[in-house]
Amino acid sequence: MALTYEKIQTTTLSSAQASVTFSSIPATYTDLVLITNGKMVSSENALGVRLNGDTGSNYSSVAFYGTGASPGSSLRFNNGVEMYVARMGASTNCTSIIHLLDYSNTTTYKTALSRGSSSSIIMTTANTWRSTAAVNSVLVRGFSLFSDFASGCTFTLYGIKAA
Amino acid sequence: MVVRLSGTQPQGPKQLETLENKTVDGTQNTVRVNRGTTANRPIGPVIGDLYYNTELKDLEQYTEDGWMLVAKQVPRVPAIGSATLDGSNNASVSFTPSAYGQPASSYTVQSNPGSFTATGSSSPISISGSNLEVGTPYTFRVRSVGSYGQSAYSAYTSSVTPITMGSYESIQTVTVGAGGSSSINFTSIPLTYTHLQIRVISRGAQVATNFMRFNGDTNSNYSSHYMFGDGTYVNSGTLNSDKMYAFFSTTVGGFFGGAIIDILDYANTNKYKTIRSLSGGDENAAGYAEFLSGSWRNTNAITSITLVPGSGNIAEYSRFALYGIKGA
Repeated sequence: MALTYEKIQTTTLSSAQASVTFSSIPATYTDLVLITNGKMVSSENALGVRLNGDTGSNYSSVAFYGTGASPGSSLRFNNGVEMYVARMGASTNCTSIIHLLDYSNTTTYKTALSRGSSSSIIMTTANTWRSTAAVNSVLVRGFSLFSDFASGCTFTLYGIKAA
Repeated sequence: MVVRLSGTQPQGPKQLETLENKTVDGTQNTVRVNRGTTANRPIGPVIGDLYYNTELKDLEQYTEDGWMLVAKQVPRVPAIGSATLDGSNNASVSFTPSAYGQPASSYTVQSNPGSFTATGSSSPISISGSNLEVGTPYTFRVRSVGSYGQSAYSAYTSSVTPITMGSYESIQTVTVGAGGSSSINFTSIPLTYTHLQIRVISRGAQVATNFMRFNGDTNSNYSSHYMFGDGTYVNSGTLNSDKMYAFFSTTVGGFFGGAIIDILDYANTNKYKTIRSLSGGDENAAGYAEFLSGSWRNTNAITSITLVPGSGNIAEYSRFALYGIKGA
């Protein structure tokens, strides 16, 4: 049976922390899936994702969200210094799923999809990192470092391998 | 029988001397045995031979497991059996306790590698699969534990290798080559899963107009609804047609959209078929993030899937990977 969907690494915070980094990610999968669970220390926020330590303005994101009011809203970030992915609340633990597609190919820019929610918002985002480099590290933090992750947050990275 | 210890210190390793059996007091036997250090135990002993170990200050008997203290004998080594893995990668290790020697109060199984252990009172003993790494071959050995200590370990079992549980399996992948492709087809899809998932990166000639059909059905049996945001506004719409909306893709060179399409209960023959999709892409000035759902008004099991762009071709390097998801 093919090894198709595997956990690569899990990090659980024992104290508040500004960011979490998965490094030395093997290039043996097709997609990566990062699942976050927890809450922020001070205030609800989106998450920021950087790849391979790139702090340049090479990211762009479009977000589509709803807060319970019709019809919902959308926003975008061009030439950002991190991806804008959903989402982590401050009062209750929230779960987000971030898909990094075809992360190890060296031909195309990298695409990420995310969805997540808190007690006040549901959100999905599409993101691009304008680099053809294979992704070997993923940093996740509060978007623009708006808030730290609270103790107890979990971050689990999975690899999915296509036949 | 009373055992009285006597004799002389052997001068280095030697054959065990013949035991003297004498009747004393009319009712008791006297057994005289060799004595000496551990290093000077007799050469070539046979099972049942006795020896007084002057270092340990105790009587030893030669057994199937070697020289062992008679009065404080530990249990014998169990005979190892086999190791098997269950559906959660828990390892079950079987063994046969020795029919001889002191009784064991428990048995300890140990893995290699990892030296993970588990203890039980009888065979088989299970080691939790949460300790074992997927893809790593493991062997196991066992030893018995008694009131005066534990035996040596047995031999190892044959190896077993934990595997990723078959809840998510890759079925087929299509990568678009030079010149692009007018459609993507998955055929002869096995009906052994509960759900299907297609994971996509793609670029095409037109955004938000990639469609899907099942089993070659080109009749107007499809309906779908979408909702998206483009960074400025949100919108939603519907399509009742001979095909359903399936996913968004980018159009600008270098940028690729992504999609995760779930096709639920696809092998069921009592329900219309339902899909949901999360897709989107961003070109650093334009792009969409989109949810959509769709129905195929047919109760047939899905055996083939066709994905088609609204116009033009799907670009080179686009990739479509079909996975099967099994329910419990």
